[in-house]
This record gives sequence, structure tokens and C-alpha cells, in this order.
Amino acid sequence: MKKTALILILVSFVFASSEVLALQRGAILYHTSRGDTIYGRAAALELPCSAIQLAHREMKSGHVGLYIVNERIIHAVTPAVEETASVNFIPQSDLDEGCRYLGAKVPVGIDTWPAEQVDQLMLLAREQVGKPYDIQFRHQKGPDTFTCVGLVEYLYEQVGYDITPSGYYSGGAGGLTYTQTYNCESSLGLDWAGENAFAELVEFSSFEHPLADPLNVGMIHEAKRYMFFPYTQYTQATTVDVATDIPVSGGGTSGGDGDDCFIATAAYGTPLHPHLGLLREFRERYLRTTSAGRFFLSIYERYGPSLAALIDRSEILKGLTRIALLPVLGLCILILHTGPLPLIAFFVALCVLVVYQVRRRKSPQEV
Amino acid sequence: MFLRKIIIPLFSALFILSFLSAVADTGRDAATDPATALDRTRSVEDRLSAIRTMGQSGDERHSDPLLRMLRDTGENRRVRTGAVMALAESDRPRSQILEAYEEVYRDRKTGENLRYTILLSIGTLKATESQALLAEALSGDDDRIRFKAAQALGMIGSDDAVNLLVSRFEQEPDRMVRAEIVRALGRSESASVEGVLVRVLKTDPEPLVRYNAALSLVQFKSLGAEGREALSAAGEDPSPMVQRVGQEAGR
Repeated sequence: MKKTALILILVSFVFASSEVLALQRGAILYHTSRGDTIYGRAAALELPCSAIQLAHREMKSGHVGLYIVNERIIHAVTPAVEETASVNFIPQSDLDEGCRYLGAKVPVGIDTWPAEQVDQLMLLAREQVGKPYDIQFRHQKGPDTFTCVGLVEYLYEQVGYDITPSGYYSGGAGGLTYTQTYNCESSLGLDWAGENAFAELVEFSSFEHPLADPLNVGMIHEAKRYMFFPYTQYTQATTVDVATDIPVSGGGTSGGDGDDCFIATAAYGTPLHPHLGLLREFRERYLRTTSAGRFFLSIYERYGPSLAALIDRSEILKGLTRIALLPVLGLCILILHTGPLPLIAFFVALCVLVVYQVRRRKSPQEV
Repeated sequence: MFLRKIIIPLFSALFILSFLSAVADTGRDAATDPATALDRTRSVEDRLSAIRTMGQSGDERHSDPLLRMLRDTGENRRVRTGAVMALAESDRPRSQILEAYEEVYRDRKTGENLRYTILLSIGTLKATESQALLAEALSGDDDRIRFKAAQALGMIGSDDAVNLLVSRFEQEPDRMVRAEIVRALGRSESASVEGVLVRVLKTDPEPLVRYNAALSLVQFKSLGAEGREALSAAGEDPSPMVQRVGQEAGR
């Protein structure tokens, strides 16, 4: 009986202790770029953003994404705005090179917004998916091309909330305003170089760079070039921090094509099969939000692709996998409709059964 | 002795090597856009940049490599997405582009974001030839695909597209898709659409859908009496968002 109790406690502990702090729709996620910088935030003057990095569009400007629901985000990346799992927000390669998650922010007073205002934000975000990334930073705020920070700015402005009220440009016919200034003077050949004030200045958008003209980067206003950086938006008093621990990295490549259900995708031959939607919903709601689930996913993500490749090659294996998935799907439907209690009850019943069988086998020997 | 036998040959070899690598790099940099785009040893960013230039050039000779990249299922997803957009920009040869779009869209292994981009590009091209595909997508199982199909049909704006959207609206269960259908109808600005939008604004149970119906009506260049009346009544709508649109329209 002691063993049963111990198992019961362990199972309950796993489910009770590992709830992820939920995040509200419309929250804005931020991370620094490689080397832990989000321009203007660095502790000291930075020189490594060379012309080559500029030419390769590796500006050290960090990244911004909009939280949708069920650990999904919409963000502008090259070549197009995409909807993806939040784990793809920070690519592993960026993490490996010193990138850091800065957290999530929401507009002040968003809790008082009517539900349809947030719905409209979600709708507009979804409308932008598939639109091109603005690699020249000339039309960052759409409506036809976007950068990560411009997309979030645009979406909120469309629902009547200006995150950067005194900065960058506010749109409208001829209504471009450039109140933020920072001049990064160019010298020493190809590197960014300026005064040490660079690090302390919060507001900046104007920039100079030896390659800015040849590459035609940024918006031109009165012979100056301007860009809108994530840090400008990040530091606005119009948004406040919110606590969350949703997973924002570990997705490997910036995939987001929904083919992360490797085995089921291989079995059904498409990432769009309705059963996959069910499995994904279960994964997002119960596996990604518990430590036990995340442990399972880490193993699955390691070995799943090779297993899926094997299944993909054989029609027999595909059929067998589809049959094997049936009880899993049944369990998913049960849990998604009734909550995790049946699962806990199932585990407890299983544990009790195992212990009972073990004790029953041992009993005759003892006699 | 040491200098002559080791140091000088070593430095000479290094010099020659660095010279050769510089020449090789120059050769790479001077590569044409199609060569860069197809070169898988290049970074994805470099390839995307080349693909974009190819699309902007409008040069029909670039369509072959772009179509090849799009159709190649082993190709990087971002590169394929870039090819979809570049082809939409070049618009030539149109029939081949639309054929490739349809082929890739129908491939069961094509991921969702690539599908969204294809649907959007069909809308950008205003490709009435692909309305059958959009109609199919609009009645599919995935609500996000239906959403994008509605958006693309709205961009096309033909009579057939409007009819498809109106008939889908009646049976659409997802409120986001319903709202997007209303927005798509609003873009078409046909006289028949005004009546539909008025009905939606007056009767739809979802505030999000009513809100978008009101927004669409406001943007009509020539609004009929029925539309003006509906907008005026929207000032009393239970949703504050719809109310605001109605009140602003009244002013």
C-alpha cells in the first residue's frame, strides 16, 4: 500500500506543480539579438555590428512577436510574416550566440478592453500572415511589408492603441514624425562607431552607416535615414511587463509549419489532417504546460523525426501507426472535453492494478 | 637555413592560399542572382535576397529557377516561401505560376505557412483562374486556411468570388472566418454586398462580425439609404466597438 500511495503522490505532484503561467492574447514578446543586445540597451559601446552584418540584415536589434493563444505567436521574419509555436520565437542558433529573452509586455489597461477589440487584434494579425518582410526597413509598419517591431506597432494602431505615441512615425497622409533621434556617426571604415552616449540614449531612430546609402536601408526624411528598433518600442511607458513562463525557445529551426507532430504527420501523410489538430491542441494545452509533458516532448522531438522518416517510407507502417494512434486520440478527446482528471484517474487505476498484480504474484511464494 | 626552408615557403603558401580564397569569394559575390538563389551552400538570407531581386526584376528568364525552387519539396521552407512571393511579383508566365501554386498547395506535405503565402499570392495576383482552388480551401477543415481563402477571394473581388463568400458566410461556424468574410466582402464594394453587410450588422450575434460589417460599410464610397440607416442604428449597438463606429459614421 505504501508503494501505491507513493506513486499516487508522485503523479499528483507532477500535475499539480507544473502549471505554466498563462499569457493573455495580444501580449508582446521581446528578445535581444545575438550577443545580448537590443540596440541602445547594451551596457557599453558596441562595435561588432559591421557592414557585413548590416549587409546580411543581421542588425543587432532583437526581435518582437505577438502572442496569439495556446502558445502560438505571429511574428514578422524573413521572408514573410508567419504564425508559429511560441517555442520558435527564439531560434536555438541565436540562443547559442548569447541571445536572451526579455519577457512579455501588454498595453496599459488592456484588461478593460472589450473582448472584440482583442479579437480584432487577433484577426488583423492573422490577416498579415504571408505578407513579405521588409528587408530594407523602408516600410516597417506595413500595410504591405513588415518588420517584427513594425508589425506589432501597426496591429495595435489599427485597434486604436499607439504604443509609441511620440516616436518614429504615426502614419497618416504626410504625417510622418521623427521625434526620436540618435546619430550613430560612421568612422573607422566599416564598423558602427559613435559616442559612448550611444548606450545611454533610450530614444533613437535616426542612424548613419557607411553602407546605408548603397543598400538604401531605412526611411529617408530630410536627408536622414531612420529605422524603427524593437528597443524603442520595448521602453515605452504605454506597455507594462506581465509575468509568464510560456516556452519561447527550443523549437529548433524557425519551422512553424505545423509539421512538428512528426509521427502523426507521416502516418496521415499531411500536416492538415483534422486528427493532427486534436493532437496539437492536446500538446499545447497539456504537454507543453507541464514539466512531465515537456520532458516527454523533448524525447519525442529528439527521436520523432527519424521514426517519422521510417514511417513515411512504408504504407504498412503508416496504416499501423494510424491504428496505434486511435487510443491516443480517444484519450485526447476525453481529456480535452473533460479536463485532466480522467487521465489522473487512469494513471492511478493503472498503478493500483500493477501493485495489486505484483502483490498477488508474490503472495503464494510467501505462503 | 630555417628561414629559407620553412618560413619563406610557409608564408608563400599562405599568401597564395589567401589570394586564391579571395578570388573564389569574389567569384561567389559576382554570381548571378539565380545562381546564388539555387546555391544551397549559401546562407538562407543571401538566397532570399537573390530571390527577391529576381522577383523584382520582372525578367521572365528567372521564373524557371523560381518555379524549380518552389516545387522542390527538399528545399528550405523559407526559400520556397520566398519563391512564392517572387513569382507573384514577377507575374510571368502567369499560367505556369498558378499551376505551380496549385501543385504545391495540394501537396499534402506542404506546411501551413507556405499554404497561407500561396493563397495570399493568388489574391495578390487577382487570379480568377484559381478561384476553384480558393473555393475548395474555403470549405476545408482548417479554419486558418478558410480564413486565408476568404482574404484572397476578397482581394480578387470578382462576382464569383463575392458569391462564394456570401454562400460560405451562411454556413461558416468560426467567428474569425466569418469576420474575415465580412471584411473581404467589404473590399468588393458591389451593390449586392451592401445588403448582406447591413443584414450582418443588424442581426449577427457576434460583436466581432458586426464590428467588421460596420467598418466595411463606413468605407463604402457610395452608401445607400439602407446602409446609412443601419450605421446610424449601430450607434445603439450593445458592443462599444460597434457603437463607436456607428457614432463616428453619424458625425
